[in-house]
This record gives sequence, structure tokens and C-alpha cells, in this order.
Amino acid sequence: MSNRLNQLMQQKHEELLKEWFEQAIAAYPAEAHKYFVRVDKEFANPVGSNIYRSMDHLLAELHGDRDADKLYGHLEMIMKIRAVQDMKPSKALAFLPSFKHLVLTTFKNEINAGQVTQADLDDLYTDIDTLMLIAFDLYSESKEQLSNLRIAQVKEMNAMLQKANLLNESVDTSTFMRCSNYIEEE
Amino acid sequence: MAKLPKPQELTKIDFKPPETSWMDTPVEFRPGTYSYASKPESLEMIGFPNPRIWSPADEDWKLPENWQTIILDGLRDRLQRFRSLKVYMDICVRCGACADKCHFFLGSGDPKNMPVLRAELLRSVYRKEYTLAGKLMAKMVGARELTLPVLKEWFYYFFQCTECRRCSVYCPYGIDTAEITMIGRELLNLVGLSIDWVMGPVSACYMKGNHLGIQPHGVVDSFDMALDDIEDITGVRLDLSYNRKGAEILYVPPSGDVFATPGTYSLMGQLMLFHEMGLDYTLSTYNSEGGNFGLFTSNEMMKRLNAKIYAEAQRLGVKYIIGGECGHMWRVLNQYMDTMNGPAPSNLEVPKNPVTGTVFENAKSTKMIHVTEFTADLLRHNKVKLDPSRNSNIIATYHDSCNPARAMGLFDEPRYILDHCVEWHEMPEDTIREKTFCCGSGAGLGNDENMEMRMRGGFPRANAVKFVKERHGVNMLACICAIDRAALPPLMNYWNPGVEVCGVHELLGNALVMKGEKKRTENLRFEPLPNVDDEEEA
Repeated sequence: MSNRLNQLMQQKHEELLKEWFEQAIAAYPAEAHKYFVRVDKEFANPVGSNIYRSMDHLLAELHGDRDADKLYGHLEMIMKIRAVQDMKPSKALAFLPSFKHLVLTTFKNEINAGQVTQADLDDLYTDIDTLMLIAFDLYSESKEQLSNLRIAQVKEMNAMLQKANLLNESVDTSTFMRCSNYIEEE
Repeated sequence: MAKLPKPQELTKIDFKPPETSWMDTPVEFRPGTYSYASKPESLEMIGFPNPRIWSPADEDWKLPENWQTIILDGLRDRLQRFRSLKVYMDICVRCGACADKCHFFLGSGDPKNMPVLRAELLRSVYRKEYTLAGKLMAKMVGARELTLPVLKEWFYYFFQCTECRRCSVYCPYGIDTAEITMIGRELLNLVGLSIDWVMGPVSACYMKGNHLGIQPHGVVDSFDMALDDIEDITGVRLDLSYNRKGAEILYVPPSGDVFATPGTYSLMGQLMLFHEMGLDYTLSTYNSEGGNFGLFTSNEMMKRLNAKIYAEAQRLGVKYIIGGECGHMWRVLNQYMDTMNGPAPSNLEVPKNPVTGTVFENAKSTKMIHVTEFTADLLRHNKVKLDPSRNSNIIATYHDSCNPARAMGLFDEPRYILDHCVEWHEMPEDTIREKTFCCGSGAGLGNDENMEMRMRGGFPRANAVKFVKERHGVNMLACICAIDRAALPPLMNYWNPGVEVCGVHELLGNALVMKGEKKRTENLRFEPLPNVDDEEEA
């Protein structure tokens, strides 16, 4: 996958990552920004650091081998995080198609000068589109998992109440009275 | 015709800072992020006001007409009664030290989950009502009136705090933000605003002695089931006693460990240990709950539910009390019980381990010790025979449950037990001991409808577990809290599949070599022991 566009992306990896990450965390309230950009704080800033690290790996794959399994793995954490946050799916995934725009603006001169071929751009765009679809799968899977966790908890609670013979039981005040009387008598 | 937005525009749409300031931005009750309202019968049971059917998502919350007066009078009353509240209202300089310490903020980025801003929800009303500057220059000093949108904001965010107190560790002024949440919830309760996952357990506990509302015979049934399982696994039949007068010790577990897995496994480990040590103890079918959801309701409710512990210890005439592996229970017992319902009944003595002779001077006042203190003391004196190889398929890590860690400084005893039972690894420094991250589901928020918020709030904890999972192959998360044992399994399922959750005493129970036991082939979960196949092949 060593075309000119990939070489350029590799050379400007840090610059692209910084801007791309900024676009991704623009999805959060402004007050969170200064905390979420502290990406070196792995445990004090789990959202920012995980998204940054995943995007770093994603970018390296995009200008590297574009290995499907690795790309999938790096997307997974970002989608899991976003599936539990106050965010519409379109916002959660928007950082992926916005990468196309980022490439266009970052390498505007090289593209205009013909150093980057349309075929290379098309190739990248197609892969980004595929990544979008994979991300949508991951996001949906995470939402489904949340729903399954909810159902599991309801079932567990039901089973527990059934075991204790408490389903559909209205509150039995007589038991309390018996206990109170018992304590007093004692 | 509207044009489709570009993706780079899409990332920002709706997520620009709101045009209005935080004070004027109303909350949105989106399913998955809030807990259902309390049921009228729960409130009626305990004599709480305004019982009715309502939902936080409704426009009309069916409040009493004079709800503002009720709450403001309630706030005035509490400012007079609790000096700590008055101090907390006035001394915060908004330095921001707590801002990024809340797990809900770290997981969401929602600024109103910064502890400072959560407290500001209450402070803004306090300033408006009780300070001259607030009355004269409301906006300038961050003061505002108590309106319906403000009340809804209180409900949303005070039931989005797990009272874990991580923020208070970092506050240079020692403000305990959890206490602000507690007062916030007290005030909300004055007009009938609470959640079902809190008030259901509170009313059940008030009537029947435990959060699930299981009656005394049901409690005995549950212990019987645990005894059957222990007999199947070890061949040893334990003999428990209930409500036995004259026993030396009253043992009070959290009911979550009596009725639900994986807590039951931890309870089994404790019962096995007590049997092996020949402990003279009894269980109470009336005082069948160490936990106290009154803590998440009001000071008065906490006191009412806690009263049964000393009352039962007095009735049975025991010498001291051992409490089980519970979290918030220990905040109540260690920090409030003595003041609320003390002094301890005169029949109680300073706890003394009958096996080792150790006197627990730390419990001189409450006369109640944590089961891990008891077990760690036994291990320190080599009184327990263990075969840790039975846990050789487990690589554990330890989650400091918030309340035992921050409310009683119980750090080393559980670790000491793990040292003797299993290979285990610490999570990173800023996520353990007094800096531990909450499970995200405490203080009554562990209900199913709040699942999205729980996964969000639990992410900082899960992130640290992920680190040790990847570095050391950790597959078990040990803890000493019943709420943790209910909340962490789904959290691990979502963020770290393959990591299971257990109580510390489950691992001890697995390793415990009992007198007269049969050849053990299964652990307390009825799973094959790791060394059995190898031995048989040999």
C-alpha cells in the first residue's frame, strides 16, 4: 500500500492525528475539552486517552497495511465508548468521513500538483467508507449488548424474587407486626 | 431544500457549547440515563410525603402546590442543623481540583457531573435565598431561584452521583461532595422525589429487615441452600443458628450475599471459615441486612434502618458483631452508627478474636468489625489451612470498594487475604486504595433502566481492569462489596469480557482446607478445580 498518498500521510502522521483527534473530541461539551486532550493520562482521562490511542493506531493502519482485523480492533474501543455516551449515532461516527476532508485540506498542494493520484484518493475513500460500515456494526453491537445486559438483569431479579416466592406479592404488613411483637415479647 | 451537512460539520453540530450558560440549560430525561421514580406504596410504607405514580420523563411531576416553600424551609432547617452543610455551601473556591475526579464526568464529559458543578446546583439556590450578595446580584455571584427546571436538574444530577466520595479525597478544603448529594436527595424526598431502586429496598428493609423484602423463613431457606451447596462441594454439613441468645458473636452480612450470585459464593466462604474456626456465632432473621439504603435517602431514614443492628445485638445478648463484605454498609457503621444509634448496648464488648486473642481496639466504640479484619487476623496467626492451588486457574485483581476504602481506610486486610489465596495483581496507583474508582452503580443507581449511564460511569474502573487484564492476564475482579458484586459483572461483560467478579472470601473458601472434607473436585461455583484433572491423569 505504499503509494504517494500513504507516504505523505505517514510523514504528517502527528499533524493529521492532532487535527483528527480534535475533530473527534469536538463532539463533547466544551468544558470537557481541556481534560479530554490530556491524552498521556491513561487512567485519569480514560475517554480521551483511549480514543487518541485508537485513532493513532487507526491512522497508522490507514497509511500502512490497512489490515482489516487490526482496523476492526482499533475501532472497537471508540465505538464502545460512544455507544454509552449522550450522542446520536451520526455524531458518534462522524469522525470517520471527516477524515476524507482532513486529507483533502492537509494535502491540498500535493493533490493540486498532481503528486497524489485520484486512484489513490479513491482507494482511501473506499476504505474509509468500509470503515464507516464496520463502525456502524460495532456501534449497533454495543447498543445491543447494553440492551441484553438490561434484559439479563431483569431476568436475574425475576428469578431471585421467584425463588423467594415474592413475585406479585403485595407488601405483607402482618409479618412486620409479628416481628415487632416478637421482639417486644422477648 | 436543506443541504446535507458535511461530516466535519456533523461532529460539531449539537455539541457546540450551549448558547445558554449551565444555569439556564435544562436537562433532558433520555431513557438509559435516569432511574425510574419511586412507587407510591414504598413511600406510604415509610411515611414519606407525596406518594403518587409519576415519571421523571413526564412534564408534570405532580408536586405539592407549595413545593418551593417545602424545599427552601427544608434547606434552612438543615443549614441550622448541619454545620458541615453550611461550611460546604460557603467555602468552595471553585479551584477545580475535584472537576476531573468524578467517574461520571470522566465517562461522559458532562460538566454538571463535575463535583464542583453538581454542588453548585444546590449552592446557587442557597446563595439566592440565604446570602445578601445572591439576593442583590444573583447572576454575578452564581445565584438563581429554585424553579421547576432547577428542581428537575437536581433530581437528574443528584441521582447521577454514587456518593463514592472520590472527589472529596482531592478537595483541598475537605468538602465532602457526597454529603451535598445526600442533602440534595433529602430535600427532593420532602416533595416525594426519589427513585424506585432506592425506595423499594428502603421500604422492604424497614418492614422485613432486608432490601429484597424476604421474610424470616425465606432468609433461613436461602442459608439452607448455601449449606446444601457447601455440603455437596466439601462433604461437610455446617450447622447454623438463628436468633440464638447467648451466642458470642452476631454476624450481619449484606442481604445481596444471601440471595444473589456471585455474592452467595463469598458468603459460603465466610460460613465455611466460621465453622472451621468453631466460632460461637448466630445469624438474625430480623436483622438480615447489613446494607442501608437509608444512606441514599435521608439521615433520618438511615438511622431508622440502622437501629436494628444494635437492637438485635442487645436482644440476643452477644458480645460483639462481625459485619460481612459490604460497601456502603461500612460507611454507615463506621462513620454514623455510633452517633446515630450509639452508644453501643452495654452487653457488647470490645471485639476479641476467640481464636487468636487479638483485641480489635479500632472497634472499641462501635463493637463491630469487618469480616476481612477477622480473617486477616486469623491468617496472620497461621490459624487457617489453605490450598491456594485450587485457585490456580484464577489471576485476580482487587477493586477497593469505595466505602470500605474511603470511609474506613480498609485497604490492607482484603489484600492480605488475597496474598494467601490466589495470584493477584494491583491496578494502577491512581485507581486503587483511597483513589479507587467507583463501580458506577452505587447509591441506588444499579438498576437496569440506568444501564447506559452505569456503563459510562463505570468506564474509568473498567479501563484500569483492562490494563491488568492485558498485562497480567487477569480474569477475576475481587471486591468486598455486595453492590459491586451486582454491578461489576455487567460492567466487565461490556468493557472486559472474560473477567469475572467475586468476593474475597469466595477465593478463601475455595482454598480452605476443612477438617473432614471430602476430596474437593469443584470450586464454590461448582466448576471443576484446576488441579483435579492433572492429579487424576497422574
